Parts: sequence; C-alpha cells; structure tokens
Amino acid sequence: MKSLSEEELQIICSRISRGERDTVARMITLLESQKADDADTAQHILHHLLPTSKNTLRVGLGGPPGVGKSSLIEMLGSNWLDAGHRVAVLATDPTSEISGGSLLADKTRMHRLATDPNAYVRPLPQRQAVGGISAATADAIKVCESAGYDRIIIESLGSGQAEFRIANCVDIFTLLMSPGEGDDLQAIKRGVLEHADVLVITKHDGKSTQLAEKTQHLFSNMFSATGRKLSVFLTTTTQAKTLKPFIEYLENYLREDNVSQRIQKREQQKQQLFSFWLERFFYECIHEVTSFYSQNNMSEISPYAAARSTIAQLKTQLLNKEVNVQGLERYP
Amino acid sequence: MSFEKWQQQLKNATGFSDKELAWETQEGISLHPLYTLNDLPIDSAKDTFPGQFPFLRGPYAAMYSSRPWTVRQYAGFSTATESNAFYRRALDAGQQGISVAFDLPTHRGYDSDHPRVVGDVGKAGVAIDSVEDMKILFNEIPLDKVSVSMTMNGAVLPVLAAFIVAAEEQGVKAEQLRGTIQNDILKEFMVRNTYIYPPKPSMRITQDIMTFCAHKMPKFNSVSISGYHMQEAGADAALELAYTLADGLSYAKLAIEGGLDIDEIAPRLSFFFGIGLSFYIEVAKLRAARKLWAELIQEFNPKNPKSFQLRTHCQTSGWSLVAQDPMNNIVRTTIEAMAAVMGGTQSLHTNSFDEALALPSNDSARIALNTQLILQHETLITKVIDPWGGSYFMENLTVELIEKAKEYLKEIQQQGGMIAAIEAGIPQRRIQASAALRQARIDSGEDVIIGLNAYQMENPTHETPVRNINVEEVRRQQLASLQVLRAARNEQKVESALKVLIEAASPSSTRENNLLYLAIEAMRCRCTLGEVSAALESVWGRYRAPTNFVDGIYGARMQKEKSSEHSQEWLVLKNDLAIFLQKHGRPPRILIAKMGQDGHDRGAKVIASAFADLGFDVDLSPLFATPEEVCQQAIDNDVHVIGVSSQAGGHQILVPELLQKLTASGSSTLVVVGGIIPAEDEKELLRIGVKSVLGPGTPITHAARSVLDALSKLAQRGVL
Repeated sequence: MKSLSEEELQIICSRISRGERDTVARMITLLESQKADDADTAQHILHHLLPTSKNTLRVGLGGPPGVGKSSLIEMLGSNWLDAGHRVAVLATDPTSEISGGSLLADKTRMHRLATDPNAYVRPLPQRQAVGGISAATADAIKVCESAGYDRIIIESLGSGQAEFRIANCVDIFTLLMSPGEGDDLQAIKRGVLEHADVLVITKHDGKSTQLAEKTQHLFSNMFSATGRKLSVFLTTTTQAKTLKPFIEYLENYLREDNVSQRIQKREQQKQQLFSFWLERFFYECIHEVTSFYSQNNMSEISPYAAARSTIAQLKTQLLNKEVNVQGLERYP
Repeated sequence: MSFEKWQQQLKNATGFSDKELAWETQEGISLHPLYTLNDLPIDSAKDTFPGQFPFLRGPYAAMYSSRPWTVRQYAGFSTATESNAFYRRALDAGQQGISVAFDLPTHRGYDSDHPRVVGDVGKAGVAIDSVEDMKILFNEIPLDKVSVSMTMNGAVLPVLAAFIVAAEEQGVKAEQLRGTIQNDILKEFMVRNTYIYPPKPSMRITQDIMTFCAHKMPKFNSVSISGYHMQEAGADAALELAYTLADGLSYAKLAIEGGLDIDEIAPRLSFFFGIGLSFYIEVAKLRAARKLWAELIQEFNPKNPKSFQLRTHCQTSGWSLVAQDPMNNIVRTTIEAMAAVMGGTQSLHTNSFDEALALPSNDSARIALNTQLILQHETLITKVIDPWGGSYFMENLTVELIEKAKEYLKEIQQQGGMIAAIEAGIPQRRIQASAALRQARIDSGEDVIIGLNAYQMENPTHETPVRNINVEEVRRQQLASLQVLRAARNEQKVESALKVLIEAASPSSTRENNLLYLAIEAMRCRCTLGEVSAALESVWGRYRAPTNFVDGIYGARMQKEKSSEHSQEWLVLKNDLAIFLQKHGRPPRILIAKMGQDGHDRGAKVIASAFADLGFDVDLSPLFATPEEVCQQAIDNDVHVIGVSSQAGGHQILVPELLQKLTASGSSTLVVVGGIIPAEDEKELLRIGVKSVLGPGTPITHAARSVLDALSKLAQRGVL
C-alpha cells in the first residue's frame, strides 16, 4: 500500500466532505483501479471518511436497453434538484471483453444533470464485474454521500441479464419495463424480478397507453398471487408530472417510522460485501494459482482432481480459523 | 465465341477466375469483371424513356439536350455584405442559381449576440439575424429571376419568412419566388444535428411550410429531401437511397395529413443526393432513385404525372476531399460531377479543392465552378440522354441497388415509419456502422486514397492559401446591426407578434394559424431570428437528440486485415495499452468533445468507437457544449485527455477558452484537437498548449499513437 501520511489523509477527507469535485472524481478512480495497492489505498481513505447520514436515499435502476433509464434518471434527478437536493448518478457502461475498452455516453442523455452544479454524474466502466454494476459502485456511493450528495441514483448496465448485485447496494431497486414486456416474463426476468422492490412501466403514452396498462395489470396480478407487495407505476418519460407517484413512493421510504428497517437493510448489505470481495479476490487468485500450477507440470494429473484437491486444502485452512481478522480496519 | 471461353482466357491471363476477381462494394454488392446480355434485367431496361413512368432514364423528356443542368454553387460566409459580393461575382462568372450557406448560429436559431455562439458566428456560412441582413444578402439580385436555394432546417421559419419579406420589400411577390428551402428535419435528427425543437413540433413546422408554399409559392420547392448528409455521415449508397426516399414518403404523408392533396405536394418535393467517388454506383443510384420513387409514391394515388417525377440536386462529396496533396481534389470532384451528370441530375454543386482545409477561397471556388462549365461546354456529355441506359452492367447495378434499398425500406416500415425508426436509433446505427467500416477499409489499406494512404507526397512543401474568417470582426458588425435594428423598431409590435406566435405554437391553441404566416408578420415587424426561435422554444423546449453508438466494427475489421502496416500498428498499440493499464490501474480515458454549434459528429463518433475497440475508455460530451461544460465533464469523469473535434472552425475561439478553463480549475487534463484545422491554426493551437493536432484523413492508429505518446509522460498518481 502506498502509505499516506496522517496529514494527507486529512486533506483528502476534508476535500471530499467539502464536495470538491476533482477530489471526489479522483477518489472514485482510485476505487476503480485494478492495481491492488491503489485499491488498498482507496479503502484506507474510505474508512476515514465521515460516517454518512442516514437520510440519504440510494435508488437503483435496472432494465433492458431502450426502456428509458436515462430519461427517467434525468427527470427524477431534475425533480430532486428542484426540491433542493444534491444528486449523484453512478451509471454503469459495458466493457468490451475483446478490447477491454468502454464507451461512456451517459451524459449525452442527461443534459441537466451533466451541467447542474448540484449534480454529479459519473459513468463507470463495468470491467470484469458481474451483476450489472462496477466493482467500485458500492464504495463510490459512500464517497458521494460523504461529499454531500443525498440522493444517489445507481444505473445498472441494462443488458437484461441478471442485475442482482445492484440490489445489494441500494435502498430501493427499481426495475423498468416497457409496455408489453410481461409476455416473455417467464423466460428472462425472473431472476431480476426477485430482487426488485418496485416496478416502473415506461412509455405510458400514445399508442402504447393501453398496452402499458395491461402490463401493469399483469404484474400486479402476478405479485398478488405470489404474495409480494410490489407497487407497479406507470410513467411517461416525456412528462415530468407522471413521475410524481413514483417519487412520493421513494421519498416515503425515508419517513421516521422506517428508520430501523432502513438501518437494518444497510447492515445486511454490508454482509453481502464480504462475499462480493471474497468472490472477486478468489477470481484473481484462480488466475495466479492456475499459472503457478501450469508451470509445475500438471500434464499427468487429472485437471478435475487437481482442482478438487486444491480447493479442499484451502477450505480446511480457512475453516480451521487459521485466517486472522483481528485488527482489521472498521467499515464505516 | 462464348462466355466459357472468356472465363478460360481470363483464368489463363490472370490465374484467377471471374468470381475471384469480383469486388465487393461497401454496399455489399459484388461487381463482376464482365457483364453480358445474361445480366441485363430485361423487364426493367426495356422500353424506358426519359419523361415517362417510371422515369428511370430521367424526369424530363428533353433532359440536357435542350438545356443543361443548373450550375448551383453552395456558398456563404461571414457577413451578408461579403456573401452578396461573392454571389454577384459568381452569377457574372456563369453560375445560374444561388445556394445560401448559413452559419451555425443561424441554423440553430441564435442571434449573433447569443453567449453560446461566440466561436461560430459567420464561420461556416453567412450570419443572418434579421430581414435587414437578408435584404443585404440579395441586394441587386433580382429574386423574380434568380432561383435561390436555402439550406435551412432548424430555424426554417424565421429564415424563410425573412426571405419572403426581403423579396417583398424588393418588389417581388411570394408567388414569383423560385427556388428551394431544404426544410428536411428528419435527416437532422438522423445525422446532421442542426435541429432546434423536438421531432413533433419540428414536423408541424415542416407541415405548415409545405402548406403555405403549396398555396402561395407555386414555383418554390418546399422540401429538399436530402441524402447528401447521410452520405457525408458515412452511409453507403443503398442506405442513402433508402432513407432519403423513406423521408420523402414521410413528408408526403405529413402534407396530406395537413390537408393537401398528393398532387399539390408531390411536384413540390425535390431531392438532394451526395455523389462520391464510386462512379458506377453513383450513376446507378440516381437512376434507381427515380424508378423507386415513382413506384413508392403510387401508394398515395397521385393523378398528376409530375407527382411521380423525382427531381434532384446533387453535390460532390465533401468527405471524399483529402487534405493531403489537395490539388488532387480537383480531379476527384470532376469525376464525381460526371457521375452526377450521367445519372441525370437537375442541378449540381461542385466542391472546391481546399474544402478539407477551410472554406473555399476565391480561386478554388472559380475552379469548382469552371469544372461544371467545362463539362457543359467542352465534352459533348450533354448531347445524349442517359448515356448508360441499356448497359448490361448499369441496368443490372441499378436493379441491385433498388433491391438493397428495398430491404432497408422494409426495416423502416416494420418499425412504423421513419420517425419511429429514428426514435429507435435504427438508421443512425446503420449509418455509423457504415462509417466505421469505411474508416477501417481505408486505414487497413483495403480502400486506396491517393496522397493519404498511398503515393503520399514526399515533401509536402506547397501550402494552400485558405480563406480565414475573423469571427470577432463579423460578430462586432452583426452586434452593431442588431443594435441599430432594435433602436429603430416598434417594440410593442415586436412583442405582440411574438406573443401571437407563442399562442399559436402552444399545444392547447385552437388557432388554425399557419406558423410561417405568423413568422412573416414577426419578421416584418423586425423581430430577430433569435427572438422568433426563442419564442417557439419557450413553448416546445430545445431538443437534444440522444446519441446512438455502435462499436466493435472497426476493431473487427482491423483484426481481419492482418497484413497491412496499420493492422500491425494496431497490435503494437494494444500491447502498449496493456502496459498503460498495468502502470495506471485503468485504460487511458479520453473525453471526445464537440463544442459550439458544430453538429458534424461523424469524425467524433468514428474516433470514439475505434478508440473503444482499441481498449480506451471513451467518454462522449453532449453536442453543442461550451468549453466550461467540457472542462467540468473532464474533471467529473476524471479523464486523462480531451479530444476536441472541430469541423466548422469553432476551434479558433473555443479551444483556447477550454485550455484556460482547465488551467483555472487546476486540471492537468491534456487536450488534442482533430478535424478541419488550417495549418496556421495548427501552429497556434500547438503554441498555446494543445498536445497534438490531427487533420482530416489521419488514420485511427496514428491518432491513437499520438494520444498514447502524449500520455506516456503521465506520472502515476493518487487522490491528491
């Protein structure tokens, strides 16, 4: 780890808490870094940031491409800006597996948020992370909150694949659907639906008005049949007023009598982070171990048996409490 | 004597079969080395005559045999006074019609004194703020005799209104006016980006203009449906053909919904195609367009034979011009002009050879004009109608293009028409994919461009003198005229005219008033162009089209063409990127930015997608950004470098301002600039701190190399 002096740490933390955008931006870059020492430094700083207020709202948005996520974010964010909030948007963009590069065009679809001094929009390349968001997203949320942003919108990749991980770092995970999408529900949406807290059907206008209403009906029926109490909202992304009931629903989450539930949920999410990082480091570890073994002539051993035995040995060590967690840093 | 014998002869002579020697065009059409009677589509080619349905061989019976095409050069720059002098010189020199190029602020509905347009006034066209400017523009040009074409789409209401009022005050009535207003907003949403309002109200404007012109301006073409800009944005001929005609159908439908009869509107629709260097394809495209249009328009059951005739203007391709060894462009333009003429165009613009460097100079403009005059007077080309008619090959190619275009038309229809397709981003993505493919074909050496990727000049010593516009001087003059105008007018009348416009535009309005009619009233009271636009904007808002992207195409092509020098370089670059990633923990991150009112984003998009294919993280700025906004975005996204794309001269003012903002914010973000940058400007930009200037035709690999080199000195850093 690059060692930061106490003074440097102080400066960085106070700049972030003053909301200095260049420091916030660089901090998020450090969180994203694929170098281990950068990541350690970033985590070290993260632990020294002020604990974040309980009255922030983290809203996740997922759904297939073209469903209108960006338009909804622009409207939702503008609404919050008008109400005096400070809004941060963490958008995820796909990374090409072949090139490792990413196209990050989110700001071309969020004009007000991209230019308003009280909004901060940061597109994050997904890299190798799974689950619809970048590996840095969960921690980037904390940075934004420390910087005084009290409404955080997290946009998932929107590939239509499993977007479960986003649900683990937000208060409310909203799934967006186009009218008529309930039809192929069985096939693709089950996994995501299980994690959704609320559904928003977009394009409730013009020719698709009736279809949107039909889709709402279909989902409402399905939820009541399975005993889940999910709200399903109809919106049109060209008219801000249609968003009102949805925004009221979101704000309602912050009401006083809900405090303990909110805290509990965030506590649970913290637990999930352990398994997330474990998975991620394992993934890196696998690469290293593989190349180590392949240099040590494995040609005569069964690949299956070798893998089995490696993991078994590792597991024994881990479960025998030979791993020490004493003295590790506190998580804010 | 047999085909088989020829095949054998070919094989003996070359070692290849005729199939192996076939060439695949960008459209995906296979060109065989030889066509024979067997390839002739008899049904399509037999008994066809110019001036008769389906007009394959020409819209008119006489074509050039009695009168050649109209020489119509597109021009305009700086002030109305200077452009007027230019037009009058050109008319004296043999030009037969005027074609006005407006500056970008005018296109986007801003007066010259608007804070968002400081870098663009008078730059890529003439600045028009009011009727007074319009009167100067046509001073001593008889508008009842000279036909005027105006490239205007976004701010079409105040511009056409100002034109009508200027003519009126010259003593020429609206019904005497001849010419064309482009008024083609669909392709603006697709490629050109000089729209102002959202699609729906924009289409209402188009409708009102079509209606007004049909009733009051019988000699005026109320829409010029333009494929040109699609080709410039990268569309191949089949895409250009299909989307242009699909746009045409949308306008016909719109006019009918507005209460016109098909026979009132169809004869007033004109077309505008781009003509590139694929000689045969371009001849075939114009023939195919006429036949296909005559078939498609039947959907509306027209009675008047004129309704079936596709009449078109053509312009040689600006994109095909090369900055390196620019005199070669005279030859390129000549070949393109010949294709347009052999395809049977009704009017033609030929580009000047220096347009990859700057706006045309007086000398280059003269040569461009003479190119057409030489074709008309020295070559006998005009003596025969549709000289390619009956050619085994040309008739075959014409049918092939029609078939290709029909596939794209079907895709648009399935989407529910052009507006729905544009909203879904379908044509935009297809055009971008075509542009990326074209760039990869050039960079990999598969497509040869002399002076650029082959036979380069060894010591390019010759510097072409270019026209430079002093934006600050033009702005000063425009601001002074605006002051005079505002001092002399009746403010009360101005306010009430604008109020009437606002009421008529509001969705709740029950008034049946035609917006052009009201705009004419407003311009008559000396409202400015910016005021009329702002009034409508207050109701409809200013639109920003979502940006569509395709990636993967350039990279895939580079991987495929492993042999060329650039493909080798591609692999070296990928390796260097991996080293960068190790050192910095992330790939280099670049913000591709467009500033000012310049919406030409082909270059920006091709660079963005190719850099992402290489492994960069690529951020995109929204179009029409200010330097301040770009600076903020660079900081927020924490990019290493900003790549500014400048196609319309805005860099002279906007890039220094960007550097200043970055310095003031304490940012160390590097800046590189690409696009049309005259040599003088390049020196100045490098002097003030731009790391690299990449002119037109720079291969992607070179661009990426120079960005990486600039970044190589970058130190590792933490948060502080």
